[in-house]
Amino acid sequence: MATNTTESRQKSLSVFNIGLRYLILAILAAIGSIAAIQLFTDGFWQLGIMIVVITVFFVIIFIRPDAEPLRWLSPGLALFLVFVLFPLVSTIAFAFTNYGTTNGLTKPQVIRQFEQRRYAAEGSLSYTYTMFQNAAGDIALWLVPDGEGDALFVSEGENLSFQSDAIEYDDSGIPVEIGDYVALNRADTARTLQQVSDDATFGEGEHAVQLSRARFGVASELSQRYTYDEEQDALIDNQMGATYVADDSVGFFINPENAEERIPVGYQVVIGFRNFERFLTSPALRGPLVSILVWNFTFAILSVLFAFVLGLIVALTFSENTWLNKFLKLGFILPWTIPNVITILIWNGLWNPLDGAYSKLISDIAQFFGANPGVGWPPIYNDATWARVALLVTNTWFAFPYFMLICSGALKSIPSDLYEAAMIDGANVWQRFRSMTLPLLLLTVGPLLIGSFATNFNSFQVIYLFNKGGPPIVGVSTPAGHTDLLISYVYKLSFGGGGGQQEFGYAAAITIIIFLLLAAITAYNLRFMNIWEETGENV
Amino acid sequence: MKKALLILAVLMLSMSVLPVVVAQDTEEEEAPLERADADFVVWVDSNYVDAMQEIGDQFAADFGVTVAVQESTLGDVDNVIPVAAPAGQGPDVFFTAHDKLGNLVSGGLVAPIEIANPDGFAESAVNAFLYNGDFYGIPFSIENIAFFRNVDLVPEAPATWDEVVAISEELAADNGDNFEENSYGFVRQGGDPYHFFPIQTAFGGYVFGLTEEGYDPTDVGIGSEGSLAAAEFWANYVEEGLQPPGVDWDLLHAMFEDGQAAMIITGPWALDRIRESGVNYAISDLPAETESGKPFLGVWGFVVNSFSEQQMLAGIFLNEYVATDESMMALYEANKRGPAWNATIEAVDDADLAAITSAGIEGLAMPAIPAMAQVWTAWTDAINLIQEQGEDPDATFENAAEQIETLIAESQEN
Repeated sequence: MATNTTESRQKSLSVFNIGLRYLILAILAAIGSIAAIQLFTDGFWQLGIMIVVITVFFVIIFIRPDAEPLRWLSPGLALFLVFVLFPLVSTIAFAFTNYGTTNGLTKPQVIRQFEQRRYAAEGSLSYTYTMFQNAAGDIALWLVPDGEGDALFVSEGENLSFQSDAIEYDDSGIPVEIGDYVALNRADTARTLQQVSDDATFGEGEHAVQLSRARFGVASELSQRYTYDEEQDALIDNQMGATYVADDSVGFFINPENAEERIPVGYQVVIGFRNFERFLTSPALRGPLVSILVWNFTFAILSVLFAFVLGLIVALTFSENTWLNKFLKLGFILPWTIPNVITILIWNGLWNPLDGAYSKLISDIAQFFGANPGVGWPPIYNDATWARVALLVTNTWFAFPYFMLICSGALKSIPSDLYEAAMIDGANVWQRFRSMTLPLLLLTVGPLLIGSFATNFNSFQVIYLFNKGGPPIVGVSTPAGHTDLLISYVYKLSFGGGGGQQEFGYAAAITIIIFLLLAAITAYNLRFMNIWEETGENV
Repeated sequence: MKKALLILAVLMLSMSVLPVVVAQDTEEEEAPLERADADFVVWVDSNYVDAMQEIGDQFAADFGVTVAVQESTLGDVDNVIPVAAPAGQGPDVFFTAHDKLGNLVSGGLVAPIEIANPDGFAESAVNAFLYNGDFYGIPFSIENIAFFRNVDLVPEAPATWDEVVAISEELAADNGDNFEENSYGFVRQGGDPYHFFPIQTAFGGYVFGLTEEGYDPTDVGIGSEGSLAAAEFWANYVEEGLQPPGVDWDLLHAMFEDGQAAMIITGPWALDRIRESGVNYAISDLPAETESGKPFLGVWGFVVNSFSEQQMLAGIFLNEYVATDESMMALYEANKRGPAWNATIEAVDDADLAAITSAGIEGLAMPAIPAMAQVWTAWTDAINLIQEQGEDPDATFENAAEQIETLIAESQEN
């Protein structure tokens, strides 16, 4: 009896459980669908598809019992899809398009925009209008031409007839009422104006008018400047009498007789590998690329090396667990916690050759040894060597706390009995460090060193804030500086140092090329250090 | 298997960090500006929000629409407008600096407008918004740089660069190796072509040749005779020790305020700090040499979003509510920069600003053509090379011109 109750309770509990699970799933699916629909309507269909895929995936793995192991991975996988894979795929997709400042719109958007353009043809008339409205809310205009001519009475798309001698006029000669239309005063006209569409045409034939987009109370005979001809897939400029045919391989409407002439606004198209071709044949790669690459590797390797060595020294020096050491370490971590956007500016001040503290110090030391350096020495920002040294010092200062932390932790994980055994065997301090501490440490820290190398290789922010890659190199075919990394050099060339045209497609292609370069280096490094395998076998 | 497990573990670990990283990122970045919920929306620099709201309120009352004025930045023009406008989330009217017009027009983001009363504006201002034969904006302020001097040290404004050199030589005659004890005449910061341009134009140099259709991207003037003459002049000045090395914007202004530099070139944005410092200063036209010294003009104006559903109202708002004596005065009062409206220019009561405006009368609008983006880096490098590294001025400027031509040719092929 008692067992029966427990069983039935368990049963009802599991029914409740299953019910709850389905309810949660239904809510999840609903949220997913709403988000997807919203994204579709906003035009972000790629992300919408991804959300749909994820939602379906969730529903399947929570319904199918055999997919249970996947349930634990699912949040991670979903986040991976949205935040890692999606940006990657988008970048790759962008790289094959011409998306950018001049080619940001879609073809229909460009056509629509140009079809809205108007112009006043030669001899066209301008009118002062009075707005009329009938009980149904229809709007009509009483048009008095500027200069000679008879008044017209028009509604949207047609001329209205009226008998001029049967109407009552006010003092300024404007009718008070025509049929069931009543004249509006200026204030009422203003308030009614919002109901008139921007493209509304009043009247018919050659005297059809549109409301002026510059003056209130004025209407003009305007013609449509561009018309889209579907058959030719072309925009026709009615004012100039030119035809611009769409060229979907470049995303522009081009005058077939003169390729130089085109509609200035382009549209997005897929252009295949042309972005890659463009980069690989660009003057950037004919410029001082070799010297920049050499410096790029030097910078990345030395930055990691200095930061690691300094971090290790600090970690070893303050490894004993006293309150003073803890306090000091806390101080050492500070450079790492402040955003380097701020600290680089402070360092810039310290290095300033005219009034910077460090420059003053260096100059004082030189004077102590009898040199006479003069105003503005050392030339931190204007001499290649000085700039590079100062940059490395600054960058080391940012990065060493990270390695200090890592090393402190890794050092603690080395068993102390190993050291005891070594001491009994008579190994001295250096030998112990050389054959035990360092190899054991590198096992843990090795992958981090490689990761840090990759970060430093693309350390755009530090370079740009420090000296924008300067000082400039003399007599090169493309502008480049002695501290430019590949990334800052390409940025300056492709985007004119900001403020220029944003060519996202081109930028994505460059990113992919730099990524491939970096991935190759990293893979080689990992292989070289054999770290994955060794660590893997020890797990 | 162990290896696979390890990779999986690392993957999962990085997953668990991800949400944190993403959350931090979104916290740090401010949300992009979104269109307010109103019939008619205007985006403008923070200094002008209140003044524009008042103009907008009047418009709202007359036309029975709701008007919202939102604070925006020039950065939004680069980054938010291109995304928001095509999605229908952009403002109806927004402010911009005229040199962004090239990008805005080729991106299809602004609609041509009719200027009802072009004679009401300074000619240079209204022409700055002329692009490919169409007008795109209603200008409201003009910015340019001028020549500032310390009256205690330089009582009379020098009319030519020759005179500037003579005064500088006199002031710097006793200079030694200690920077702090030195005094200088005319000083400028490193690089910075914007502030070098008046020197270049004084010797007959230019950036792009000016034709009837606007700036000609195929005529690069950095290597022209006049530009080389200016580069030579400046290289000599540096060689004489009249210009200390490594001066940046902050140090330059500190030197001027302390009386260590007697003459500098700067703009109205530095007026506040210069006034506060109490230095006895005066503002005059930029020195001439073979020609007058012309600064770049930066014109701010309102443009109409080409995706706006209210093109007609936008045109009426700009022509009949913004381009009026009262509104232009209110905008000037809100942020004291050189006005673009003739009646306001005449009514300026601030002597400094009048002097700056006078220095810009012959100024040249900053080129808005896309090719300009290819100029800055090479030009900056060239000035740095002669000012900071003592390189040969002719070779350096000629090389810079070649660099610019290469880059323009490359960017136009695509």
